[in-house]
This record gives sequence, C-alpha cells and structure tokens, in this order.
Amino acid sequence: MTDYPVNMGVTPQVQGFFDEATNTISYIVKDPASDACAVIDSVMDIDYAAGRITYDHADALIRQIEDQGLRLEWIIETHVHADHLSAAPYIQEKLGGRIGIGSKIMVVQDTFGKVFNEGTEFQRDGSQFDALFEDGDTYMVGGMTCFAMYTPGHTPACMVHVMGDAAFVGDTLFMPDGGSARADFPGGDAGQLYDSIQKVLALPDAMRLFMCHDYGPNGRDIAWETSVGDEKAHNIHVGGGKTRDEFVKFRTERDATLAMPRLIIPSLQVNMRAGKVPTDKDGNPVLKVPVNGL
Amino acid sequence: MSDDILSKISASNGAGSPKVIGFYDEETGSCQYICICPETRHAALIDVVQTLDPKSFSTGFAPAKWALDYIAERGLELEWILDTHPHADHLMAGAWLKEQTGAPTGIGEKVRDIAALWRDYYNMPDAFPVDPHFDRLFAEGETFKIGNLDVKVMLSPGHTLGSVTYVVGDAIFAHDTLMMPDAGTSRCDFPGGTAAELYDSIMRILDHPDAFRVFIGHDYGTDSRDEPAWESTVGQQKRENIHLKDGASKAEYVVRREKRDATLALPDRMLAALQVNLRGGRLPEPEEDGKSYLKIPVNKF
Ligand SMILES: [Fe+2]
Ligand SMILES: [Fe+2]
Repeated sequence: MTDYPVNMGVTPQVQGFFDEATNTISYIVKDPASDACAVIDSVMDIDYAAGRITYDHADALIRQIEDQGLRLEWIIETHVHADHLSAAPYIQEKLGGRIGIGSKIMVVQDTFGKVFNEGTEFQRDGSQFDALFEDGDTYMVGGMTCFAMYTPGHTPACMVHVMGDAAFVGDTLFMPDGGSARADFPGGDAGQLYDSIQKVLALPDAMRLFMCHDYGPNGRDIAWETSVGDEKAHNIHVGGGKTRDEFVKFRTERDATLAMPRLIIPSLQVNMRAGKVPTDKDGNPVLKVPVNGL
Repeated sequence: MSDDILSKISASNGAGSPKVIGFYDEETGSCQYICICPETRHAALIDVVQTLDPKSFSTGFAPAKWALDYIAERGLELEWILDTHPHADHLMAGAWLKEQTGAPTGIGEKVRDIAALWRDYYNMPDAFPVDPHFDRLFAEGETFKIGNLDVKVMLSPGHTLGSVTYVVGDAIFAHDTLMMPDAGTSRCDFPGGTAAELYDSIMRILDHPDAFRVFIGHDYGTDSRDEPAWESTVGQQKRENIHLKDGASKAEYVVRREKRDATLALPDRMLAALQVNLRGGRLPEPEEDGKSYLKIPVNKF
C-alpha cells in the first residue's frame, strides 16, 4: 500500500455547509498556520423542472471565505458527483483557486461522453480541471501538506483527501449509522469500494472523517463528522470486521433496490466538465438528455 | 402493471351520447378517455399518456397499452387519436398509438403558434413543424364524427393558447380548463397561457346545458377526497366549483388565478414534454448513436 504522508499534528479548521436539496455537505478547510483555505465538494443549486440554476449555496461559502479574510487556494472535487452539480467554476471566478479532481476523471469522461453522445469538442483528457491527482499526490494549502488517496468503488475516479488530521471521504463511507455509498453507477464496483474503505480505516483512529452526504437515518439530526475509530467500531456496513464477501453481497443486493438519483443526468453532464454547463452552438446553456439511455 | 390502472365507466345517455371510459395515470394525475359510439362501436382516444421517469428519462406506454387492450377485447374500432393540447406535465402517446393502429391523430390548429413560442425557448428554430406530425389540426367550430356521434371542436385558450375542447353529444372533454368542482380550475402560467382567456373559455363550456357531462384533464384528489375523480356536470360545476361558485367577476377570477399560479412549481416533465408533444408524441430524431436526446434549456424559466 502506498505510503501516505499522514500528519496528525496539523489540525485544520473545518466548516461544513449542508445543502438540504441534495443532502450534500460542502467544506471550507483552513490551514491553521495561515489564511489559506480549500473548498471541498461545492454545490450549485438547480430547479430541475424549470432548468434554473442559482448559486445561493455557493454564495454562502464565498461570503464565509471573504468575511474571514481567507485566501482560496484549492477547489477540490472528491469525485464526479451524480446527485448534485458542482459550483467549482463559479467559486473560482469569484475567489480564484485551482480546481482539482482524481486523474481517473478521464475514465468517467469517456464513459459519459458516450452516454451523452458528446462531440469531439468535449475533451476526455481531464483538461477542464486545473489539477489531476494520482494516488498519493500531495499539494499545499498554505503551509499544510495535503494528499489524495485513490479510493475507487463508488465511481472510478473517487479520491479521499487528507489534510492534517482531517480526511474528506467523499462517497466511500457515510456516518456509522448510514453505512457506505452505493457502488452501482457505471464503473462502480462493490469489491473495490470495500478495499477503498479499508484504506480509509487504515488511517489513524483519531483521524477526523468528514462525509460528503448525510440523510439523517432513523430520524436523527443531520451530522457529518466522525472518526476512523468510530467507523471501525460502529459502521453498520463495514464496521466490526465485516468481510469483503459479506460487504459485496450486501452492497450489491441493496444497490439493486435503489432508485436513480433525481439529478443524475444534469449532475454528470455538468460535473464531468468541472462544473461548467454545456452550451449549444449559439452559446446558450443547455443540458442534453438521453431518452432511454441510462 | 396495467391492471393497476384506475378506470371508471360513464354510460351513454341514449342516441348521440357517447359511452366514456375514463382511466387514470397515477404518476401525473392525468385523466385519459376512450370515447365510444354505442351504435357503431367506433371509438376515439383522448389525451393518452406516454410515461416518462423524470430521473432516468426512460419512457413507456402502459396507459396506452391498457387502452388498446380495452379496445381489442371489446372489438371496438379506433377511429381517432385526439389530444386537447400539447401537455406540459406528461408526454403524449399519439404517435405510438398511430403506429400501432393506423388511426389518425388530431389536435387544435393553434398548436402551430404554440410551437413558435417553444422554438424560442429551446433555441431550435427549425424544430416542430407541427403539420407533418398530426393528421388533423382542428379549427374553432369544426365538426367531425366518431361513428355516428357528432363532435364539435371549441377553441378554449387560457391554459395554453391553443387548447381545444371536444364536445361529443352530451360529453364535454374540457381538459385543463375546469378541474373537479372541489379542486377549481387549471393553471394558466405556462407560456402562452392567460387567466382572462381561461375565464372566457370556461364560461363558454358552462354555456352548455346543465346535464352535460364534463370530463377534465387532471385530478390529484383533494385534502378531503383521496380517490381521483374526473366526471362532473355543467350544472355541478356552475353550482359548486370553488373558483367560480361565489359569482366571482372575471377581474376577480384573474387576480385569484394569477396569485395562485405564482405559488406553483413547474411540472417535473415540462421541458421534456413540450419537445415531444409538439412532435405529436415522437422523440427527436435519433443521433448517429441511435439514441434520441432532449434539450433542457438552462435559465430560460
Ligand atoms: Fe457520489
Ligand atoms: Fe395541460
């Protein structure tokens, strides 16, 4: 296993922003030693029925960054989300920063380039992003060394980002009572997801874990922070030493019962372009929807 | 699956009066009809739904199949496939039904003007030629037959600018003008809709004799009524319709209607539906990969 530069001695300040429409949590992560920060998994608002895109959630993030006088260095996507649209380009336009995602985005672009019958003008080389991370790649937020850990399974391009004693797990694990993310999207794989989750659980027990989604199972309040130790002990899908086979069987059976996310088509189409809305030949923003294509 | 479809029979009231089978699409709250001439056993289908899952955009024909089964089992002869307007809340099944049966399709002629509006929204200047997609485009006052039954076409703008009402003997297919008396009237805030025109259209419908049956386009039940319903009479509508019964003037009605419309979300399927319905229920021409694609304009609404 890759040797990751874990440094539990750095404790970044983490602010979570919950998006009620999609149950997504976006984060601002601040380097404790400077005013540098990163944004993780931002959200663009969409009224799908009306085709209307707005930026209330992203504006709230931007306001926080401005009010606290922070400098945005990175806009990270843990993966190509299928349930919400990323606001990365909007935030970049207002505050700067580099947009980064896993290098396997190219696999996702290839898959969905076909699904949406994109023309050759849609590049499938990840060039819409400013940085493409490989497993174990490091980058700096101010003085804080961060690294990306390759964690496929939910999608082929998923990465967990670790910043000091905080790890942003994307859609691998959910809160202990929520279990794990689904693995049935194109290129997803339950066995790979299990292996990826083991990589996360191999981090120090005290590592803080921040979720990308929470649905408040069994009526509890929305929550998004837990720890490696907690997940190992209590996660209902992988905790307490569940085997790979048990997990794969359970995950596959469960996924077969799940409906498609409401926003899957606009999400993939926009997010595989790093959050940019495609345009028609006259430059008007437009989504292209395959009928009977998913 | 198709066994789950809720249907109700409204008997003929004698010569010149159709037997009407209403059947319901749960997903969209749409009321669809088989209108039958009891003498000749000729039938027309009105406002039949093509299903669309708004998440995956997969389509289906369960209600249309239900209707064709009904027609086949009873030895009816399908004479017309009619729609009252290009619906915004569901895809129509007209093109598919025509493919299956060869019966001609019909809708109001002002669909041409509706198409012009939507060409702009979609930025598709050459789309929706309309004429090739329908066999008949009915004008106000036009008449035709379903078997021996006389059908009169009434232009009923308001919900859209080109909605038509089919009056078949004593049965009025009023689509999205009136709703059930306990639910009121239809919204007018889609492109080309106006509350003032809807009011006038409703008044023309209510000019018919009190005993005439009114079959509506949508019902979702109400807080005090779970079971969907779609049949009332002109008399009932005049006495009981919650948007009309207190003798509201046209001006008052318009204010109320517009206020209420401002609170309504757009239907889930609208941007997909118009694109298909203005093609008579056909999907766009497939691209070279064999799949059809819809365009969802962003920030036009
Ligand atoms: Fe995801
Ligand atoms: Fe309608």
